[in-house]
Amino acid sequence: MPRCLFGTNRTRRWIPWASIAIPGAGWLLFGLYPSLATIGYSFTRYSGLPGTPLNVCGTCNYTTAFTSLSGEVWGSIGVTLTYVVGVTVAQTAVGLGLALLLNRRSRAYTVYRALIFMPQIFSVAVVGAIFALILDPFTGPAEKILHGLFGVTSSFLGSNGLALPLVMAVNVWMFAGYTMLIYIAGLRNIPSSVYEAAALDGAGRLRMFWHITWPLLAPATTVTVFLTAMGSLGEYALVLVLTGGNFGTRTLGLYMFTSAFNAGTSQLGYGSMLAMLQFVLTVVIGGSLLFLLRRREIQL
Amino acid sequence: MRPRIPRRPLAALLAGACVAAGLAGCTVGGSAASADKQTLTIAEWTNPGAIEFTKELNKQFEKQHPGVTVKLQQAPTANGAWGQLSNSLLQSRSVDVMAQFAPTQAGFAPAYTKIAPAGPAALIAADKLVDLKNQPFMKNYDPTMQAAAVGHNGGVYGVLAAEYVAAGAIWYKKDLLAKYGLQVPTTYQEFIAVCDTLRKKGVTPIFVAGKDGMQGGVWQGIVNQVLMKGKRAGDATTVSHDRAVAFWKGQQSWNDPVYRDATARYQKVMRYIEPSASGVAQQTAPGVWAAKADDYAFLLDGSWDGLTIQQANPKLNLSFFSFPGTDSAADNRVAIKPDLTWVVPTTAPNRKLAMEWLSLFSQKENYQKWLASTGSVSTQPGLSNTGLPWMDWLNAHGSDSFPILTNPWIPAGAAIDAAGPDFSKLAPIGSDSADTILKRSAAAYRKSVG
Repeated sequence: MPRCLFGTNRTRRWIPWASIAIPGAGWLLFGLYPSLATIGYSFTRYSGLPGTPLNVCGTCNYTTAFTSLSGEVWGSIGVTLTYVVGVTVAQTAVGLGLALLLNRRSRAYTVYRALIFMPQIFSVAVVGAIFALILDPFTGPAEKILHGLFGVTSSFLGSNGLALPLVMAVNVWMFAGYTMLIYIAGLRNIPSSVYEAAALDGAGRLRMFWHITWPLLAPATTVTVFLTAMGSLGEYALVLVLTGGNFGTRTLGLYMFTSAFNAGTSQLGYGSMLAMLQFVLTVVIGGSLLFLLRRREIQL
Repeated sequence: MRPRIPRRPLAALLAGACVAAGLAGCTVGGSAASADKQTLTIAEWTNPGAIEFTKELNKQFEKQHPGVTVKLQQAPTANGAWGQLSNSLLQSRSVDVMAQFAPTQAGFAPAYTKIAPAGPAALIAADKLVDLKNQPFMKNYDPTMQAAAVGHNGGVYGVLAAEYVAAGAIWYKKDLLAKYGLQVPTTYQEFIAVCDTLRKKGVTPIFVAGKDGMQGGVWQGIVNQVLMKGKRAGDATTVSHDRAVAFWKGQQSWNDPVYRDATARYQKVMRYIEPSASGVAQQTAPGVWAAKADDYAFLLDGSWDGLTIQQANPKLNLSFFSFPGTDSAADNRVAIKPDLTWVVPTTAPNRKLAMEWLSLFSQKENYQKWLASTGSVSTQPGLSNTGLPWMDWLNAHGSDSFPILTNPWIPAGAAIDAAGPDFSKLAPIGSDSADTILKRSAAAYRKSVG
């Protein structure tokens, strides 16, 4: 019987099926099952602790969310939307700026790009802990710099006006390198002949950017805006480490996490209902963004 | 002809089986599963003093029980890490003795509220914790206190091992007060006068981890002292219950005079805090406070942080007292908060060993060491925490202490305001006035209970 790297011909027939079955089983176990369980739990008052009863209650969590606790739900959705818009706009702008600045072919620029991309590989908890220390009004360097330059003090993450913008800034710092890479890939796909023709027509740098670079970067913009918006929609870990959700920073993701998993008070049922709201929000915003960005690509 | 079994898939199958066995916590061969070798698993959140003590106790237990290995699992309480660990240990049915925060009676809201129990209260209600009421070692503890902290329907489902002064605990620098001829204040007016004097001398009176809301302890302390005025310590559970019922029925609210007065007093105290304190986290506050021996006379914190403060500045001559919230020294009693409680899940693989471990823990000499390691208030009658220099004030003034009052019942997901004022929004740390905050809290509570 002929042999090859993957065994006999008879065993090779099973390889395509195994290739489907193994990831398929993984998806069923770690994708579909938790999703269905979340839908199920959202109709219960389940504490989430092993062995405790499900306490099926129908639509009680949904009713509560849109009646007695509507202020909490809408409040956290408002913070989430502010966060998504702020982070998406800022990260796209910073990423594009960095891409335009560092789209050069030399070793030095490769090092710069690697340094800017590096925060992406750190865990959110590590980045959060580092910035919590940097922004500590007593032990961190940020206060000393602020005081040295302007003679003022700030409580940074303990300020109702500053906490949310600072968390957004940390998010942008962490992921701007990723956006930069997408834009650099986009920039390298623009033929240089287009710029040469524009230069012959007397176009300046600003005009070339506005009429050539920006329109031709539309596919890259679609990708980066969509990914950034989707990523920041579910943000909770960075907020949890930096502010614990205090000072007006409680996103829907954090509200869900604390409701579902806070030791001592956790109610997985209510948290699951918030996860369903998060899902709906993601579908609506993600779908709208894709529609608008695709239409924009065609128009440009 | 016998069918030939392909070797590579067979090898893969065996490898898969080994991985699966490893994931399931099994071992191949008989040594680990032999009857005379047992592993007792203890789980506890990370508190340096408590962990050190537990490790020592575990060594003692292993010496007394040849063949038994005690495994200690730990995680910090910050960012939900402890919750995740304790849930996974319960899920895997691999933990024998586990630390939990005492649920208190507030964890069991009446059926008419339709509020399902959460945390350890949910485990008790579902019969997932062993009733320890009749265990011999429970005789070492005050039964009333244990029942209030972790009792339900006549059973006692844990050992309340640690209690702390949480509402209004104030650490102070003895030498700094002595330098300006100041005494530990016994009334609210005296406290304000001491703060005034310190400020005139160029000392910022108060430091606090405002980012984590530790300033709320002052408000809680005042409310507790006012509501427990003239009441016996044993009445605390009834007072809490009656208040919860009155809130539920709409007969009381966060906008009542007692809370308005407490808020006004709180705001006056907040005038003396370090202006940037709202950005300070609880993790760094004790260290920053301890390092500045000549400034910040007071630190608003829980009494559990003594060892952390001492490690940050071993030369600091420190102690703590309970915030005097009223104008009468006699009414300014200490409110004690139940904290670490050892529980035994019904799924514990070594229940008998777990009881023996708790019995060893409860022995007077060991419990005395536990008190010294954790800075806890004793839950064993006849024993007091005399091993730490900063317990002097409490040992002199703690005889009429009472269990801290628990908050009115609120459903899961309710607004922060529903459980009382949101101190991050209340002036001077936030920008909202007392009137706005209390009206918002009252409305949030009413709305949250439907």
